[in-house]
Amino acid sequence: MKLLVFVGAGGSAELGVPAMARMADQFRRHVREWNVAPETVAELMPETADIEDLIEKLDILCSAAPTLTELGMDNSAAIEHAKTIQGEVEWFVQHACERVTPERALLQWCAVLREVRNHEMVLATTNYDRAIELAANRMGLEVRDGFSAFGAGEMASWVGLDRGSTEGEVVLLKLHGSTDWYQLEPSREPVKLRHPMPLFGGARLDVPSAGGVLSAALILPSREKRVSHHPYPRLSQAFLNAVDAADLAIFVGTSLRDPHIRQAVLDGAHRRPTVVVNRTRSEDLPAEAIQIMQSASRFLASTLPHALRAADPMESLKGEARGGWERSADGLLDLLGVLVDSSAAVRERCEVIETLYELGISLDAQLLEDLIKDADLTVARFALGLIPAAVDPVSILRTAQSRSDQDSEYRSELELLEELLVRDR
Amino acid sequence: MGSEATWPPAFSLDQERILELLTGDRFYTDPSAALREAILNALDALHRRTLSDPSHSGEIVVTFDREVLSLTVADTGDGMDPGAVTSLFARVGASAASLRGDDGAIGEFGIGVISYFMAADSFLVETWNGISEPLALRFRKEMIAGGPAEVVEPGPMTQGTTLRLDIRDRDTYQLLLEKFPYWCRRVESLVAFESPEQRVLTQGETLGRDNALALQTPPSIEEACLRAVTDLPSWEPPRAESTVGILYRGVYVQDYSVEKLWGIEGTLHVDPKRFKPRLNREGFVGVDFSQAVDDYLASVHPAILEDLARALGEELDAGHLDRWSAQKWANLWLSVPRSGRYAPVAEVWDNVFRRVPAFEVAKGDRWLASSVQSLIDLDGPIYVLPPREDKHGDLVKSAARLLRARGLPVLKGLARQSGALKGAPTAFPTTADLISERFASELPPFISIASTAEQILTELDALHLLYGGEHPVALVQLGTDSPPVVRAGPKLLINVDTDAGKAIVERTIEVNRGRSGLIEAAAEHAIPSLQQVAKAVHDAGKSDPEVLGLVKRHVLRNILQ
Repeated sequence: MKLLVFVGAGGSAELGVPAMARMADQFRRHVREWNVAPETVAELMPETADIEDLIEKLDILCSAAPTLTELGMDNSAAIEHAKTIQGEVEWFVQHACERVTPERALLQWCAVLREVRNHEMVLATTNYDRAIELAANRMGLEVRDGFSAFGAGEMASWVGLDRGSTEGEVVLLKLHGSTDWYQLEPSREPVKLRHPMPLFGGARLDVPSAGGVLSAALILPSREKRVSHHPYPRLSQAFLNAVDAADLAIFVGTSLRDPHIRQAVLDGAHRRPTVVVNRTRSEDLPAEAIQIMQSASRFLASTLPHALRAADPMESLKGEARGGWERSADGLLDLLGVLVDSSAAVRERCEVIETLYELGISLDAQLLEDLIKDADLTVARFALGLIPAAVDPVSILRTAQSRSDQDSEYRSELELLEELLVRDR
Repeated sequence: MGSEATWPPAFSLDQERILELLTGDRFYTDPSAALREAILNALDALHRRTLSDPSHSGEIVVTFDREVLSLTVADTGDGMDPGAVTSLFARVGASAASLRGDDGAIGEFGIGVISYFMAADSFLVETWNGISEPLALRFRKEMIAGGPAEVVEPGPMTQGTTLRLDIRDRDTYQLLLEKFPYWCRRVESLVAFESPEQRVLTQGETLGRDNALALQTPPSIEEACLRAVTDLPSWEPPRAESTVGILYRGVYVQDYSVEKLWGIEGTLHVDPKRFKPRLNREGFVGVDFSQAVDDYLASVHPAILEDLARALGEELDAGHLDRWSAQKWANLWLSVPRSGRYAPVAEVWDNVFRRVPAFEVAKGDRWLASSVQSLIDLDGPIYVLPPREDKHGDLVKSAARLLRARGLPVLKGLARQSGALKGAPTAFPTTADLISERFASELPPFISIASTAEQILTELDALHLLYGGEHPVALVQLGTDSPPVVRAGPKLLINVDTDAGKAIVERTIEVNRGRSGLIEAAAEHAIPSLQQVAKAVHDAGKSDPEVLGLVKRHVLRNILQ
């Protein structure tokens, strides 16, 4: 199956990256704390605006400098002021996006990324953070994002996205750039660094092997840049192609405020199954669009992988659509974090398992296997209860059976589970 | 003693004798006793005449006259001379026997004069002894206070005595008439009529020689007309006793009740040479009388009971006892004496009763009256409940419930009710005990639930083991009328058919602190069995509580649903 999964800001919220509106609040506090033109920021970004609005305005202001000079209007002070703020925003956003840890990213993305073995999958996002890349890296998966592989080097260059996706490959379209993408001066070619660092404002990074310096990270594109600035147009084209080619298109954690994302939903909903996942229901979507009210983390960590393993993924997703928000697991990644933390108290971990069980969460197979093999038999025994909801209970059951001689209570529960599974089959 | 100097005679009350008689058990309580008194006096007169003239066949004629309200008793006895009249009629309290020393006389009939005045305000005595002049005297009630009898002209008469009572009123007349068959059961040589139409009156004995059992009698008993009780459909004796009528020369004298000898009805005719009625005619003189009757009834009781058993069998076959409850059958059966002379009788009873429903067997939730015959064909053992349900502890109730749920036969023997045949000794406490011994070779083995309850419960298949180990806690289904928790040995059984049992399990799942969660549930439900096991577990000091995993709790919740 050809699958397109678009992830918006909601897909990174539980990873530590605030969504645009919240990021705006944090930035306002930041500029007040550091006294970086707080009044100007407040004027450019009122309470109702988010940080993308600020970025847009700053971009316009800074881009106007050459024209103003040609016209003999000396607004260098204002332009410098705007550039200062622009640099601060660039730093702030990069800094916020780098809050994502590989461990947390893995919890959210590992189950979906495992499904690239079975489906042609294109992941698209307007997020700048590297959650998907970090998770894929942990899993040893190659990500095809338009850049070459790093190999032994520090830098990767743009090679394009001319060919479509294949099974086993993660195709990632970062429509608004990434915190590890930079522009090489003077060629203006996009490059990617293995070890990204925030470059903002006038800061430059000298990379002799690259034959140039790196200027600000390729993020926060204005609308104008997205149309004309390489590689954004290529990325947009690749996205539209993926939307057209998909057998199933899923939009997770996005308000669909971005016009071209919204248009992709509206255009495609009547042609092929389209799923929109958000915390609230939207009333202005096509009737054909299936709306699932869940957090992005739950959908990505549990619902989608489970559906993709089902005999009829659409029926599985439709089933989820019938549920309301109250069934969603807010803070799922926090729970999973406790679960995988072997230093956490056994009781706490068991309580998490119980919560996951009550929520009907389908855990990633590897994660569940790890729990079954946990050093603590009580945790392992509790984890048995999650097997029925797993995507492949039979396989995990074999792992569980290998421990049955270690503890009578474990064995007792395992025997019960086997009875239940036989009965349910 | 009177003499012709006091003629006509006046009542002379023997104060001493009157006192003696009046302070006895009973005095005349019924105006119709006048009839009995008159008959007994006539019988005495006939007896005296036959002593002197053995060829004489006497007769007593009793005539009720509805028009003039009179009762006439005429006998062809020995008749009386003036001296006899004076002595016997006027000297109230005198005794013919004491005067003449004759064992054949009835006894202290002097007091009988008083009884005449209970029914009549005056009476006329005409008598002729065949030697002296016939006599006729009218005695009026006023004479009791003092004054002689009135001499009247006697009518033509043969030897004997005619007593005519002028009955006081119509009600008294009617009473005497109705009581005629009561007092006169089988008086030989007596005929009775009612005028003016000369309607023949029938004497009262219903159980004649033909209907009675053929029973040998001792010398003191002239004739026994006895049988087993006959009105079986409605027969429900509260006490183990029988009451028979005692007759003296065919005249009813008293009811005689004997304890422990139940099921007898009929009459005994005492030998008049051996027993004399008491002065007030409502009893017999002498302790020997009671002993003689007791001994005789005891001797015939086995035969009576055997006859009763057969009668019950016939009534049962005819469907006349279909309304009898199992309890009623049990009351009887358990009261049958079984030792000594009764052994063959008990066998007869057992053979009849093998087909009567004298105990109950559980069929699902219902108790059905059952008979021995219905048990004989059962496979496997029969489980027996203790007789008193209020003595059934939780363990017994639960075990019984479990057996019933499994479709195994549970038998409830019936004990004799407290208000039935009280006083009769019982050889067996319940019908279950009775049949288990008497039909041991035919019936499947009996197993007492009281002594095996714990074993029964420990062997049952639990729905699920809540906790294993030294003090296992299992979930079972014992029905809604069993308690929520039962301790069977070291095992604790939680009955999930009850709301309390379900609540205990839910609480345990909810707190999930292992067995110590049972202590919490115990505190809420205050069930001793639960507390015992929870305490035992707690005291054992197990460090790792047996926390229930998700799978197990999922299964438990499904069981609770």
